[in-house]
Amino acid sequence: MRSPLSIQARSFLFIGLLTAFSSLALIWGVRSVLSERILAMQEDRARGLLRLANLAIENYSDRLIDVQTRSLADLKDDLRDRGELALSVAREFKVVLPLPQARKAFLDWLGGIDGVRGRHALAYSLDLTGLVHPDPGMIGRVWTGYLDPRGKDALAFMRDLVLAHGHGFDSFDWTGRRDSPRKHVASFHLERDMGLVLALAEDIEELDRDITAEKAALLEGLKREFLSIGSGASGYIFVLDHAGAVVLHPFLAPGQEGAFVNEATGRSLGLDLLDAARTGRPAIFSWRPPQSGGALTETVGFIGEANPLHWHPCLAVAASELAGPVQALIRRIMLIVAGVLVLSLAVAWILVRRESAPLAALARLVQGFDPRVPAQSGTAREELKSLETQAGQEVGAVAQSLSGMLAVLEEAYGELTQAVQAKERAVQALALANQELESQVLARTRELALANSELKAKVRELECAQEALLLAKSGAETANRAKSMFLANMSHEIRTPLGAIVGMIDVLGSAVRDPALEVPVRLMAEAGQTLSRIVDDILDFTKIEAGKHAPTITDFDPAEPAQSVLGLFGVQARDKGLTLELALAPDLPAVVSTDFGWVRQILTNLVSNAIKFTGEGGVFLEVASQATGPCSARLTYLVRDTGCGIPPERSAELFQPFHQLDQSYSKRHQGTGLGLAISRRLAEKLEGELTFASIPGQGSIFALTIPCQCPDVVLALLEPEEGAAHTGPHIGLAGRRILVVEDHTLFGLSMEQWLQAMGAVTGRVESGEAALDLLAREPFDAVLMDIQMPGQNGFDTTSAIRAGAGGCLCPDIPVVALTAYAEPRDRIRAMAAGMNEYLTKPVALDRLLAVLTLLCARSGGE
Amino acid sequence: MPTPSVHCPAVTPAPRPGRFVRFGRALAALAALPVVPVLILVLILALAAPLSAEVPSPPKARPGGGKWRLGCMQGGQYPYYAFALRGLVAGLVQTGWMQAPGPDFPATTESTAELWAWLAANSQSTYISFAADAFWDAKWEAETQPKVKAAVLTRLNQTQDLDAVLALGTWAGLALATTAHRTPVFVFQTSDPVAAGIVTGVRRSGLDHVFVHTDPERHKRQLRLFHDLVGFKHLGIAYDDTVVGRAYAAVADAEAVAAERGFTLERCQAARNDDVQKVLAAYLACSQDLAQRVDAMYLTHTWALSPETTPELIAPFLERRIPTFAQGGARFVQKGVLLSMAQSDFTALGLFYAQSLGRFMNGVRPGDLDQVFEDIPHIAINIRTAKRVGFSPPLDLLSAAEDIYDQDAP
Repeated sequence: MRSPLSIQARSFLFIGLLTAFSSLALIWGVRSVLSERILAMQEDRARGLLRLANLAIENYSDRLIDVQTRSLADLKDDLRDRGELALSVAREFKVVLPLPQARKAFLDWLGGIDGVRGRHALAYSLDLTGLVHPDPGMIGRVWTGYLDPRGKDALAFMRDLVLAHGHGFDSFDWTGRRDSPRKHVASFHLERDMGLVLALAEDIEELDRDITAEKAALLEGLKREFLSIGSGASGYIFVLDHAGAVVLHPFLAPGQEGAFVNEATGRSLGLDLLDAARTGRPAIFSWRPPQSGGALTETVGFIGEANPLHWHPCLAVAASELAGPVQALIRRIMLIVAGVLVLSLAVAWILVRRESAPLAALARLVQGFDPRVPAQSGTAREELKSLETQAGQEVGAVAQSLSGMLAVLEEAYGELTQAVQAKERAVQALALANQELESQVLARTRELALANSELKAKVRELECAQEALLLAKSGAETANRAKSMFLANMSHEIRTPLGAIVGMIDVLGSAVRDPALEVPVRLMAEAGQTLSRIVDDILDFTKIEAGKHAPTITDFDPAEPAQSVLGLFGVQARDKGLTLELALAPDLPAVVSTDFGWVRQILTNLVSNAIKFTGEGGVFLEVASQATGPCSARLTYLVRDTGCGIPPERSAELFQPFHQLDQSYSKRHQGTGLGLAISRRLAEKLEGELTFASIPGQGSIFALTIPCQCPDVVLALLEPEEGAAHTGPHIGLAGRRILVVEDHTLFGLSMEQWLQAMGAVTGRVESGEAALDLLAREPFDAVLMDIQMPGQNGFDTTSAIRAGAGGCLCPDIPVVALTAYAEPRDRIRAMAAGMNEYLTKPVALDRLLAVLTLLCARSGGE
Repeated sequence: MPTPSVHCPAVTPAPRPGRFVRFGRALAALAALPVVPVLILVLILALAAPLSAEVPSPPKARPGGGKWRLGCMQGGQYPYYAFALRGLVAGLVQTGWMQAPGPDFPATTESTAELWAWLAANSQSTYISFAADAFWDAKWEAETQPKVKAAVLTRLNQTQDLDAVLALGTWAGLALATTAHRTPVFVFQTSDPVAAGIVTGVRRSGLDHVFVHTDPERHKRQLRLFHDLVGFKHLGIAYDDTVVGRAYAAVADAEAVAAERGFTLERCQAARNDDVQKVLAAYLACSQDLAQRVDAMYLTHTWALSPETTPELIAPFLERRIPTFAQGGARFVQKGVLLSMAQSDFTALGLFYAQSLGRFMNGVRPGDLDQVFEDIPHIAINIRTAKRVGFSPPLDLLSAAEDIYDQDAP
């Protein structure tokens, strides 16, 4: 949204606000700094005044000391003079009287001296017995225990002193005229002849009173000195003692100190001030100073340090006087700031107007610009030119850029106009072309429709042909099947007479004695055998084609077919000078289940072809197997020859019926061309495959691979651990009775055989119910349990054992699951049923051995 | 203050029985006679009188005739030794052992050697002579002290021509108050002979031939008075931290009063040195240091503290308005120290020395004499210093003060 204010107004407003804020901040900052400085200066000034006050107090103290010292010196002189005078009186007495009388007279005289104030005479003998005292009760007592500042017994000490020096001064606690001991100063003199010490003593308080007037004068002088210290209009200095009592106050007369109280608390303001002094800050208090006519005045008190007299000088200033300079300063600053603000705004107005004028001109130019009006654009360019040179750097740059932009704009406008015109022309041309295109499209559409209808007719024709072909195919297949069935059915009708012919030939051959007939008979026999083989092949093929050839599954040694074929063709190979060998893999199962005849037939075809097409070298048979499951394997019969090989281009037709590699009239090898076709089909029937690989000139390999079920494979396929297979009786299972519960007979037999090989005594059943029945009759040490069985499965059987169902002799017998189920939930279920261990097939024999050994040992308590 | 370099030897020879005991043994042999026990009793009673240390006695002639020959040994020159010797002379005069010296008597000299020389040449006495060649001064030199001690012991053990030796000061007392000789020794002017190890007892020395003046409460009185007047919390004291140095400075007394009154002692060690300038520098450094951390200073006896050096040593305290107290007496107060309470003149003390020496010359063993005599303490205060440090002296102190000075150090 556009601002309603112009840039001029906005700029002015912005500058005005900025200046106002800056001014306020400046006022606040200056006020803070300066007021603190002013207060600090005031505090410094106060401290200075208080130092002056302390100096004045120290001067007062010094003068007081001088007064005291001088007064004391005068007193001591006076006391000594009086003492000397008393001694002179004693000497007078000694002159006129004998010593004892003189002593008594002197003591009487001394006792009659009327002391004034606290002054009196005293005398005691050298043994400290009191002789003269204003209090008669003191006479005759031993005067001891009156201590002097040295800590000595004053009277004894002064006795020793005057004995040595004749005279001395001392001060001591003495009961003079009053009962309570007070400090006295005395001049001591020795009257050696009379054996007594004479002292003129005076109460020190009397001395203090003597100098009271001087002290008062000194205090008055101190007060005047305080007043002379410039403390401002409302400031004055007063003095507190260490207890907060007013010692000296310029506006409180002696006795008025009680007016210096905190009205709110009733506490002495002096104590409040001393408390504040401990914090190091001035105290603020309100009271009614006499000089203010009783008005409540807020006062700031600065407290000075104590001096030798333990007095605290204090400076009191009205709070308003302290705040005055700060307020005046603030007013001054505000005036200055206001003036600066107004001036700033005026200057800002002028500058903004001046600076924003080119912008306004620019705005006006831009708003009014219309590139369609050349005259206007020319005027605008002229104005922009003038702005470039006359306006400021930024505006000039904008004007320059704008001028360039306008030129570009005009040029672009011109180009755009031309482009628009060109576009209009193109549009018209396009319209024409469009019309032509539409007419072409219409024509093509008509053509396509025609072609489409022709195509549909063709499709209908092809569909009809397809139907005819299908019918033909069906007919052909039917005919083929009919043919095959016919041939299959005719097998017996063909084979029977043919067999008779061949048989008769054999009989004839054995009966012929004429050498000239041997050859013809032999040729007839060979031809008959050949015809039998051909017929067999054809009939077999047709049987297979007709689907009437099913395998016959028997158990046999997988090496047996190969060995049979080897025996069949051994002589033929030898006669041809070829090697015929058989190699058996070491891990061949002992027994396999598949069609022995078909395997042999296939091998016969393969070996026959190999010998037929091998000129030199040999034919090699190999039999191998590969386990594909616990009870299954994949047998592989390899027939390798070193013959001529099969050209790759003929590979595709190798297994085609009635197709021979050499179809020429000069072919060297006889045959119907059905052998490989039949072999492949037989292999496929056995769910296997017949494959080959060949290198022309080097030989060929044919591989027959068929699946089979092998009971012995179970033993062979039970994954023996490397180096850990246990083959003989094991001490852990020796004598142990193990029951095998397995519905798969071959697997059960294999387990039974293995356990017996390990030295165990076994039992075997093929259902859960049979297991329960046997366990109720005979004791066992452990059970190998299959899970999936017809009727009661392994889980239920184990649960029944644990429940003692059917009278099981040992419900806690160890049960090991042997199963192909390997899911974790199966294991959980097995454990829940009460099984001790859960092993999946194929199971490691050593693991099975270890599990059974451990479980049998535990159950046996070993 | 110099320190002794030799302490008492370890071996103590058996004391020789006194002549009275020997006589008693001889009389015992005659005990069979009836009159003899009575006579023995009378003799014992008569002869026992001189064993008492408390009975004053007038001068008597020296047994065997002649005069008592006195010798003197000091660790070095110290004014108080001269004052003490002069006081002794006054006391001897007062007690009649010698006549008053003539007008040429060096009444103001601070040199003990000069005084002794005059006494040796000019003293007038029927009973006493001061041996001119029996004055030894170790000059406060550590190298000289053992030689002087050896020379004195040789004189006492081999020549044996002196009847008594005056040992002035702690070092001399330590050197001679031993069993290495048997000549009677009178030890004067020690700060604390018990703390210094000169003697073990305050009232009796423990050795028959040794007498040492003791005033066990002297420094405690000073400190108590100082504390009563100023009420300080931290008292500074500088001293040489050796047995003798601590005895000179009465450190043990200061510690006792500090514990009694609850103030702390702030100490500064100033090691002794033969060079007095170095000692002075050490004490000046202590003044600068202690002025920073005390509110009162106790200036103790030290070689460095003399009236001449007092202003310099107390200047840091005056600047900080810290009251000072001088162990040594009014001489130092006159030079700017605030207070002192010490023996001012040696009249009474000299009389005590003379009486003790007199009792010995009248037959009492030095070891049986009572050693305790309290000085007559004179209080001195400097008013000008009081004003400078902001101390307002109470009237009773001013009243009791013998010396009130109102002057700065010149």
